[in-house]
Amino acid sequence: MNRDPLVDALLDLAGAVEFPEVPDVRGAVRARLGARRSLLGRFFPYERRPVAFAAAVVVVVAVASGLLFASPGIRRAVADFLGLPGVRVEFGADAPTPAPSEDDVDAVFGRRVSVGEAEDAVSFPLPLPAGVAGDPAAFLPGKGAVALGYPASADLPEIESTGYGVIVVALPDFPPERYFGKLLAGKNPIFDEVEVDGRRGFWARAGVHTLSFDGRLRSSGNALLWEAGGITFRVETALGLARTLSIAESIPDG
Amino acid sequence: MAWLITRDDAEAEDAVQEAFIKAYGALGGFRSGASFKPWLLTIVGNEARNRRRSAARRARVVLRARGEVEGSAGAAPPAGRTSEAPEAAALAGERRRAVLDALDDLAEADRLVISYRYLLEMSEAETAAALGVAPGTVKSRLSRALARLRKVVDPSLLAGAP
Repeated sequence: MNRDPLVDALLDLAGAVEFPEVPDVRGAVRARLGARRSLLGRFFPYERRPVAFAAAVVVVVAVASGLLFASPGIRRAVADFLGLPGVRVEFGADAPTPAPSEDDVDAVFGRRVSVGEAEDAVSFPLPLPAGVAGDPAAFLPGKGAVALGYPASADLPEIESTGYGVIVVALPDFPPERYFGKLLAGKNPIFDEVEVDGRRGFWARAGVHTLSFDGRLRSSGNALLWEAGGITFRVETALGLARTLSIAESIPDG
Repeated sequence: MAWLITRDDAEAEDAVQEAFIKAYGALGGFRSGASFKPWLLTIVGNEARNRRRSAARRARVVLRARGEVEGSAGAAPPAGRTSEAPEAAALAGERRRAVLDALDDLAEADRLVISYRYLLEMSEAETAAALGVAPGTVKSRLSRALARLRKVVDPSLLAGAP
Protein backbone atom coordinates (compact mmCIF):
# COMPACT_ATOMS: atom_id res chain seq x y z
CA MET A 1 0.00 0.00 0.00
CA ASN A 2 1.28 3.47 -0.80
CA ARG A 3 1.74 5.61 2.28
CA ASP A 4 1.38 8.98 0.57
CA PRO A 5 -2.31 9.90 0.94
CA LEU A 6 -2.14 12.14 -2.14
CA VAL A 7 -0.83 9.27 -4.28
CA ASP A 8 -3.46 6.99 -2.76
CA ALA A 9 -6.12 9.55 -3.66
CA LEU A 10 -4.80 9.73 -7.23
CA LEU A 11 -4.78 5.95 -7.60
CA ASP A 12 -8.34 5.87 -6.26
CA LEU A 13 -9.25 8.59 -8.75
CA ALA A 14 -7.92 6.47 -11.63
CA GLY A 15 -10.82 4.05 -11.28
CA ALA A 16 -13.39 6.83 -11.10
CA VAL A 17 -12.38 8.92 -14.10
CA GLU A 18 -14.55 8.76 -17.19
CA PHE A 19 -12.38 8.91 -20.30
CA PRO A 20 -14.00 9.13 -23.74
CA GLU A 21 -14.69 5.84 -25.44
CA VAL A 22 -11.70 4.67 -27.46
CA PRO A 23 -12.68 4.67 -31.14
CA ASP A 24 -11.68 1.85 -33.46
CA VAL A 25 -9.32 3.50 -35.92
CA ARG A 26 -8.13 0.37 -37.70
CA GLY A 27 -10.31 0.77 -40.78
CA ALA A 28 -9.43 4.43 -41.23
CA VAL A 29 -5.72 3.77 -40.78
CA ARG A 30 -5.83 0.96 -43.32
CA ALA A 31 -7.70 3.18 -45.78
CA ARG A 32 -5.29 6.06 -45.33
CA LEU A 33 -2.26 3.85 -45.65
CA GLY A 34 -3.65 2.40 -48.86
CA ALA A 35 -4.50 5.80 -50.29
CA ARG A 36 -1.15 7.34 -49.42
CA ARG A 37 0.79 4.44 -50.79
CA SER A 38 -1.00 4.56 -54.10
CA LEU A 39 -1.29 8.31 -54.62
CA LEU A 40 1.61 9.95 -52.88
CA GLY A 41 4.31 7.33 -52.99
CA ARG A 42 5.26 8.41 -56.46
CA PHE A 43 6.04 11.94 -55.34
CA PHE A 44 7.26 12.06 -51.76
CA PRO A 45 9.33 9.97 -49.39
CA TYR A 46 6.95 8.56 -46.78
CA GLU A 47 8.05 10.51 -43.72
CA ARG A 48 7.65 13.82 -45.52
CA ARG A 49 4.30 13.13 -47.14
CA PRO A 50 1.82 15.01 -44.92
CA VAL A 51 3.91 18.18 -44.83
CA ALA A 52 5.04 17.85 -48.40
CA PHE A 53 1.51 17.22 -49.58
CA ALA A 54 0.13 20.30 -47.80
CA ALA A 55 3.08 22.34 -49.02
CA ALA A 56 2.55 21.15 -52.56
CA VAL A 57 -1.12 22.10 -52.42
CA VAL A 58 -0.22 25.53 -51.02
CA VAL A 59 2.35 26.09 -53.73
CA VAL A 60 0.08 24.93 -56.53
CA VAL A 61 -2.86 27.03 -55.37
CA ALA A 62 -0.75 30.05 -54.39
CA VAL A 63 0.89 30.10 -57.79
CA ALA A 64 -2.45 29.62 -59.48
CA SER A 65 -4.55 31.93 -57.32
CA GLY A 66 -3.67 35.12 -59.14
CA LEU A 67 -4.54 33.51 -62.43
CA LEU A 68 -7.63 31.59 -61.48
CA PHE A 69 -10.06 33.95 -63.05
CA ALA A 70 -7.92 34.47 -66.11
CA SER A 71 -6.93 30.98 -67.02
CA PRO A 72 -9.41 28.11 -67.22
CA GLY A 73 -6.47 25.85 -67.97
CA ILE A 74 -4.83 26.54 -64.64
CA ARG A 75 -8.14 26.30 -62.84
CA ARG A 76 -8.72 22.94 -64.41
CA ALA A 77 -5.27 21.82 -63.31
CA VAL A 78 -6.00 22.83 -59.71
CA ALA A 79 -9.42 21.17 -59.79
CA ASP A 80 -7.82 18.06 -61.20
CA PHE A 81 -5.13 18.13 -58.54
CA LEU A 82 -7.67 18.34 -55.74
CA GLY A 83 -10.09 16.09 -57.55
CA LEU A 84 -13.10 17.97 -56.24
CA PRO A 85 -15.37 19.41 -58.90
CA GLY A 86 -17.43 22.29 -57.57
CA VAL A 87 -15.13 23.00 -54.64
CA ARG A 88 -12.33 25.50 -54.57
CA VAL A 89 -9.69 25.61 -51.87
CA GLU A 90 -7.93 28.87 -51.09
CA PHE A 91 -4.96 29.14 -48.79
CA GLY A 92 -4.17 32.39 -47.04
CA ALA A 93 -2.53 33.93 -44.02
CA ASP A 94 -5.53 33.29 -41.79
CA ALA A 95 -8.83 31.58 -42.36
CA PRO A 96 -11.47 34.29 -41.89
CA THR A 97 -13.75 34.13 -38.89
CA PRO A 98 -17.41 34.78 -39.67
CA ALA A 99 -19.25 37.41 -37.63
CA PRO A 100 -21.73 35.76 -35.22
CA SER A 101 -24.65 37.10 -37.24
CA GLU A 102 -23.22 35.54 -40.38
CA ASP A 103 -22.47 32.17 -38.85
CA ASP A 104 -25.92 30.74 -39.36
CA VAL A 105 -25.89 27.38 -41.02
CA ASP A 106 -29.52 27.52 -42.10
CA ALA A 107 -28.95 30.85 -43.85
CA VAL A 108 -25.77 29.59 -45.48
CA PHE A 109 -27.46 26.51 -46.86
CA GLY A 110 -30.36 28.41 -48.35
CA ARG A 111 -34.05 27.60 -48.65
CA ARG A 112 -35.40 25.06 -46.16
CA VAL A 113 -37.72 22.50 -47.69
CA SER A 114 -39.23 19.15 -46.76
CA VAL A 115 -37.24 16.02 -47.51
CA GLY A 116 -39.84 15.12 -50.15
CA GLU A 117 -39.47 18.50 -51.85
CA ALA A 118 -35.69 18.14 -51.79
CA GLU A 119 -36.00 14.72 -53.37
CA ASP A 120 -38.10 16.14 -56.20
CA ALA A 121 -35.79 19.11 -56.72
CA VAL A 122 -32.50 17.35 -57.34
CA SER A 123 -31.45 15.09 -60.18
CA PHE A 124 -29.83 12.41 -58.01
CA PRO A 125 -30.89 10.27 -55.03
CA LEU A 126 -30.75 12.20 -51.75
CA PRO A 127 -27.49 11.42 -49.93
CA LEU A 128 -29.12 9.94 -46.81
CA PRO A 129 -26.48 8.17 -44.70
CA ALA A 130 -27.82 4.87 -43.39
CA GLY A 131 -25.43 5.25 -40.46
CA VAL A 132 -27.29 8.27 -39.04
CA ALA A 133 -30.68 7.89 -37.40
CA GLY A 134 -33.50 10.40 -37.57
CA ASP A 135 -34.92 12.78 -40.11
CA PRO A 136 -32.73 15.52 -41.51
CA ALA A 137 -33.55 19.15 -42.17
CA ALA A 138 -33.30 19.64 -45.94
CA PHE A 139 -32.08 22.71 -47.80
CA LEU A 140 -31.79 23.69 -51.42
CA PRO A 141 -28.78 25.98 -51.70
CA GLY A 142 -29.22 26.43 -55.45
CA LYS A 143 -27.31 25.30 -58.50
CA GLY A 144 -28.89 21.87 -58.22
CA ALA A 145 -27.29 21.05 -54.84
CA VAL A 146 -28.88 19.73 -51.66
CA ALA A 147 -27.86 20.00 -48.00
CA LEU A 148 -29.12 17.77 -45.18
CA GLY A 149 -28.63 18.58 -41.50
CA TYR A 150 -29.02 15.90 -38.82
CA PRO A 151 -29.58 17.26 -35.29
CA ALA A 152 -26.78 16.89 -32.75
CA SER A 153 -27.34 14.15 -30.18
CA ALA A 154 -25.47 12.23 -27.51
CA ASP A 155 -23.72 10.26 -30.25
CA LEU A 156 -23.28 13.16 -32.62
CA PRO A 157 -21.59 16.16 -31.04
CA GLU A 158 -22.68 19.54 -32.30
CA ILE A 159 -20.74 21.15 -35.14
CA GLU A 160 -19.64 24.67 -34.27
CA SER A 161 -22.90 25.87 -32.64
CA THR A 162 -25.02 24.87 -35.62
CA GLY A 163 -27.38 22.57 -33.76
CA TYR A 164 -26.44 19.83 -36.22
CA GLY A 165 -24.28 16.77 -35.65
CA VAL A 166 -23.92 15.78 -39.30
CA ILE A 167 -24.29 17.98 -42.37
CA VAL A 168 -24.27 16.28 -45.75
CA VAL A 169 -23.98 18.34 -48.91
CA ALA A 170 -24.14 16.93 -52.43
CA LEU A 171 -22.97 19.16 -55.26
CA PRO A 172 -23.74 18.27 -58.84
CA ASP A 173 -20.76 18.22 -61.11
CA PHE A 174 -19.49 21.59 -62.21
CA PRO A 175 -17.39 22.56 -65.14
CA PRO A 176 -13.89 23.60 -64.03
CA GLU A 177 -14.54 27.31 -64.54
CA ARG A 178 -17.35 27.29 -61.97
CA TYR A 179 -17.29 26.40 -58.33
CA PHE A 180 -19.94 25.99 -55.71
CA GLY A 181 -18.25 26.55 -52.37
CA LYS A 182 -14.83 27.52 -51.14
CA LEU A 183 -12.78 26.15 -48.29
CA LEU A 184 -10.76 29.06 -46.96
CA ALA A 185 -7.79 27.51 -45.27
CA GLY A 186 -5.41 29.16 -42.84
CA LYS A 187 -1.64 29.28 -42.58
CA ASN A 188 -1.09 25.67 -41.69
CA PRO A 189 -3.81 23.77 -43.47
CA ILE A 190 -4.04 20.07 -42.98
CA PHE A 191 -5.75 18.32 -45.84
CA ASP A 192 -5.21 14.62 -45.54
CA GLU A 193 -5.79 12.53 -48.59
CA VAL A 194 -8.05 9.61 -47.72
CA GLU A 195 -10.02 6.89 -49.42
CA VAL A 196 -13.82 6.99 -49.19
CA ASP A 197 -15.38 3.73 -50.30
CA GLY A 198 -12.46 3.16 -52.66
CA ARG A 199 -12.53 6.70 -54.04
CA ARG A 200 -10.05 9.50 -53.55
CA GLY A 201 -11.15 12.01 -50.93
CA PHE A 202 -9.88 14.74 -48.64
CA TRP A 203 -10.19 15.28 -44.93
CA ALA A 204 -10.11 18.91 -43.81
CA ARG A 205 -9.94 19.47 -40.09
CA ALA A 206 -11.97 22.07 -38.20
CA GLY A 207 -10.05 25.09 -37.02
CA VAL A 208 -8.03 25.26 -40.20
CA HIS A 209 -10.72 26.23 -42.63
CA THR A 210 -13.88 28.24 -43.08
CA LEU A 211 -16.59 27.39 -45.55
CA SER A 212 -17.74 30.05 -47.95
CA PHE A 213 -20.86 29.45 -49.93
CA ASP A 214 -22.21 32.07 -52.27
CA GLY A 215 -20.23 34.81 -50.50
CA ARG A 216 -21.52 33.84 -47.02
CA LEU A 217 -19.04 32.51 -44.47
CA ARG A 218 -19.43 29.99 -41.73
CA SER A 219 -17.01 28.21 -39.41
CA SER A 220 -16.63 24.67 -40.59
CA GLY A 221 -16.39 21.49 -38.57
CA ASN A 222 -14.30 18.55 -39.73
CA ALA A 223 -15.17 17.85 -43.35
CA LEU A 224 -14.72 14.88 -45.60
CA LEU A 225 -14.95 15.54 -49.33
CA TRP A 226 -15.01 13.16 -52.22
CA GLU A 227 -16.50 12.75 -55.64
CA ALA A 228 -18.56 9.86 -56.94
CA GLY A 229 -20.71 9.48 -60.01
CA GLY A 230 -20.35 13.10 -61.01
CA ILE A 231 -21.45 14.39 -57.59
CA THR A 232 -19.11 15.99 -55.07
CA PHE A 233 -20.06 14.99 -51.54
CA ARG A 234 -19.20 16.81 -48.36
CA VAL A 235 -19.89 15.29 -44.94
CA GLU A 236 -19.24 17.59 -42.01
CA THR A 237 -19.14 16.48 -38.38
CA ALA A 238 -17.49 17.22 -35.05
CA LEU A 239 -16.24 13.63 -35.05
CA GLY A 240 -12.88 12.15 -35.97
CA LEU A 241 -12.00 10.72 -39.35
CA ALA A 242 -12.91 7.09 -38.54
CA ARG A 243 -16.52 7.82 -37.58
CA THR A 244 -16.97 10.41 -40.29
CA LEU A 245 -15.72 7.89 -42.85
CA SER A 246 -18.17 5.34 -41.55
CA ILE A 247 -21.05 7.84 -41.97
CA ALA A 248 -19.83 8.84 -45.44
CA GLU A 249 -19.55 5.25 -46.57
CA SER A 250 -23.12 4.55 -45.44
CA ILE A 251 -24.47 6.92 -48.10
CA PRO A 252 -25.90 4.71 -50.88
CA ASP A 253 -23.85 5.13 -54.08
CA GLY A 254 -21.87 7.84 -52.32
CA MET B 1 -3.23 9.45 -23.62
CA ALA B 2 -3.77 11.53 -26.77
CA TRP B 3 -7.03 12.81 -25.33
CA LEU B 4 -5.30 14.00 -22.16
CA ILE B 5 -3.11 16.20 -24.35
CA THR B 6 -5.68 17.47 -26.85
CA ARG B 7 -8.78 17.36 -24.60
CA ASP B 8 -10.77 16.97 -27.78
CA ASP B 9 -12.26 13.66 -29.00
CA ALA B 10 -11.81 14.30 -32.70
CA GLU B 11 -8.30 15.69 -32.38
CA ALA B 12 -7.25 12.76 -30.21
CA GLU B 13 -8.67 10.26 -32.67
CA ASP B 14 -6.89 11.93 -35.57
CA ALA B 15 -3.65 12.11 -33.61
CA VAL B 16 -3.79 8.38 -32.96
CA GLN B 17 -4.54 7.62 -36.60
CA GLU B 18 -1.71 9.81 -37.81
CA ALA B 19 0.62 8.27 -35.24
CA PHE B 20 -0.18 4.76 -36.48
CA ILE B 21 0.44 5.84 -40.05
CA LYS B 22 3.74 7.49 -39.15
CA ALA B 23 4.75 4.52 -37.03
CA TYR B 24 4.02 2.20 -39.94
CA GLY B 25 6.20 4.33 -42.18
CA ALA B 26 8.97 4.46 -39.61
CA LEU B 27 8.99 0.76 -38.74
CA GLY B 28 12.21 0.33 -40.67
CA GLY B 29 13.95 2.61 -38.18
CA PHE B 30 12.66 0.75 -35.12
CA ARG B 31 15.58 -0.81 -33.26
CA SER B 32 15.33 -4.55 -32.94
CA GLY B 33 15.05 -5.52 -29.26
CA ALA B 34 13.79 -2.08 -28.19
CA SER B 35 10.48 -1.75 -26.39
CA PHE B 36 7.70 -1.08 -28.88
CA LYS B 37 5.16 0.63 -26.63
CA PRO B 38 7.35 3.61 -25.55
CA TRP B 39 8.42 4.04 -29.17
CA LEU B 40 4.81 4.22 -30.30
CA LEU B 41 3.86 6.47 -27.36
CA THR B 42 6.55 8.94 -28.43
CA ILE B 43 4.94 9.22 -31.85
CA VAL B 44 1.41 9.50 -30.42
CA GLY B 45 2.58 12.16 -27.96
CA ASN B 46 4.19 14.21 -30.73
CA GLU B 47 1.11 14.00 -32.92
CA ALA B 48 -1.24 14.93 -30.08
CA ARG B 49 0.90 17.93 -29.10
CA ASN B 50 0.83 19.12 -32.70
CA ARG B 51 -2.95 19.07 -32.64
CA ARG B 52 -3.61 20.81 -29.35
CA ARG B 53 -6.26 23.48 -29.51
CA SER B 54 -6.70 26.64 -27.47
CA ALA B 55 -7.30 26.11 -23.76
CA ALA B 56 -10.78 27.60 -23.99
CA ARG B 57 -11.97 24.70 -26.13
CA ARG B 58 -10.56 21.85 -24.10
CA ALA B 59 -12.93 19.40 -22.47
CA ARG B 60 -12.41 18.63 -18.79
CA VAL B 61 -11.84 15.22 -17.31
CA VAL B 62 -15.00 14.04 -15.59
CA LEU B 63 -15.81 11.40 -13.03
CA ARG B 64 -17.50 8.19 -14.01
CA ALA B 65 -20.85 8.82 -12.34
CA ARG B 66 -22.39 12.08 -11.20
CA GLY B 67 -24.07 10.36 -8.28
CA GLU B 68 -20.74 9.12 -7.08
CA VAL B 69 -19.26 12.61 -7.09
CA GLU B 70 -22.18 13.91 -5.12
CA GLY B 71 -21.97 10.98 -2.77
CA SER B 72 -25.35 9.46 -3.44
CA ALA B 73 -25.82 5.98 -2.12
CA GLY B 74 -26.15 3.25 -4.68
CA ALA B 75 -23.90 4.83 -7.29
CA ALA B 76 -21.48 2.45 -8.91
CA PRO B 77 -18.08 2.41 -7.22
CA PRO B 78 -14.92 2.68 -9.31
CA ALA B 79 -13.94 -0.48 -11.15
CA GLY B 80 -12.43 -3.09 -8.89
CA ARG B 81 -13.72 -1.58 -5.69
CA THR B 82 -16.46 -2.73 -3.40
CA SER B 83 -19.46 -0.54 -2.82
CA GLU B 84 -19.09 2.16 -0.18
CA ALA B 85 -21.44 3.13 2.65
CA PRO B 86 -23.37 6.33 1.86
CA GLU B 87 -21.28 8.52 4.17
CA ALA B 88 -17.99 7.09 2.93
CA ALA B 89 -19.22 7.41 -0.65
CA ALA B 90 -20.01 11.06 -0.09
CA LEU B 91 -16.55 11.74 1.33
CA ALA B 92 -14.87 9.75 -1.43
CA GLY B 93 -16.86 11.67 -4.03
CA GLU B 94 -15.86 14.98 -2.48
CA ARG B 95 -12.21 13.93 -2.36
CA ARG B 96 -12.20 12.73 -5.98
CA ARG B 97 -13.84 15.91 -7.18
CA ALA B 98 -11.36 18.08 -5.26
CA VAL B 99 -8.32 16.15 -6.49
CA LEU B 100 -9.58 16.13 -10.06
CA ASP B 101 -10.29 19.88 -10.02
CA ALA B 102 -6.88 20.62 -8.51
CA LEU B 103 -5.21 18.38 -11.08
CA ASP B 104 -7.08 20.09 -13.89
CA ASP B 105 -5.87 23.48 -12.72
CA LEU B 106 -2.19 22.50 -12.75
CA ALA B 107 0.13 23.56 -15.55
CA GLU B 108 0.03 21.11 -18.42
CA ALA B 109 3.46 19.59 -17.76
CA ASP B 110 2.47 18.81 -14.17
CA ARG B 111 -1.00 17.60 -15.10
CA LEU B 112 0.29 15.23 -17.75
CA VAL B 113 3.06 13.60 -15.73
CA ILE B 114 0.66 12.92 -12.84
CA SER B 115 -2.11 11.73 -15.15
CA TYR B 116 0.17 9.35 -17.05
CA ARG B 117 1.68 7.83 -13.91
CA TYR B 118 -1.42 7.54 -11.74
CA LEU B 119 -4.56 7.84 -13.87
CA LEU B 120 -3.27 5.80 -16.80
CA GLU B 121 -0.84 3.85 -14.61
CA MET B 122 1.94 4.07 -17.19
CA SER B 123 5.49 3.03 -16.27
CA GLU B 124 8.26 5.61 -15.97
CA ALA B 125 9.65 4.57 -19.34
CA GLU B 126 6.24 4.90 -20.99
CA THR B 127 5.63 8.24 -19.29
CA ALA B 128 9.01 9.52 -20.47
CA ALA B 129 8.22 8.46 -24.03
CA ALA B 130 4.77 10.04 -23.97
CA LEU B 131 6.15 13.31 -22.60
CA GLY B 132 9.10 13.30 -24.97
CA VAL B 133 11.63 13.57 -22.12
CA ALA B 134 14.52 11.43 -20.87
CA PRO B 135 13.49 8.62 -18.51
CA GLY B 136 15.52 10.19 -15.70
CA THR B 137 13.47 13.38 -15.94
CA VAL B 138 10.17 11.71 -15.06
CA LYS B 139 10.96 11.16 -11.37
CA SER B 140 12.01 14.74 -10.70
CA ARG B 141 9.17 16.19 -12.77
CA LEU B 142 6.65 13.95 -10.99
CA SER B 143 8.00 14.92 -7.59
CA ARG B 144 7.69 18.63 -8.36
CA ALA B 145 4.21 18.15 -9.84
CA LEU B 146 3.00 16.26 -6.75
CA ALA B 147 4.38 19.00 -4.51
CA ARG B 148 2.42 21.61 -6.44
CA LEU B 149 -0.74 19.49 -6.34
CA ARG B 150 -0.32 18.92 -2.61
CA LYS B 151 -0.35 22.68 -2.03
CA VAL B 152 -3.81 23.08 -3.50
CA VAL B 153 -5.62 20.02 -2.18
CA ASP B 154 -7.23 20.33 1.24
CA PRO B 155 -5.24 17.88 3.46
CA SER B 156 -8.34 17.06 5.50
CA LEU B 157 -9.90 15.55 2.38
CA LEU B 158 -6.93 13.22 1.94
CA ALA B 159 -7.17 11.78 5.43
CA GLY B 160 -9.67 9.17 4.35
CA ALA B 161 -8.00 8.21 1.08
CA PRO B 162 -7.98 4.44 0.62
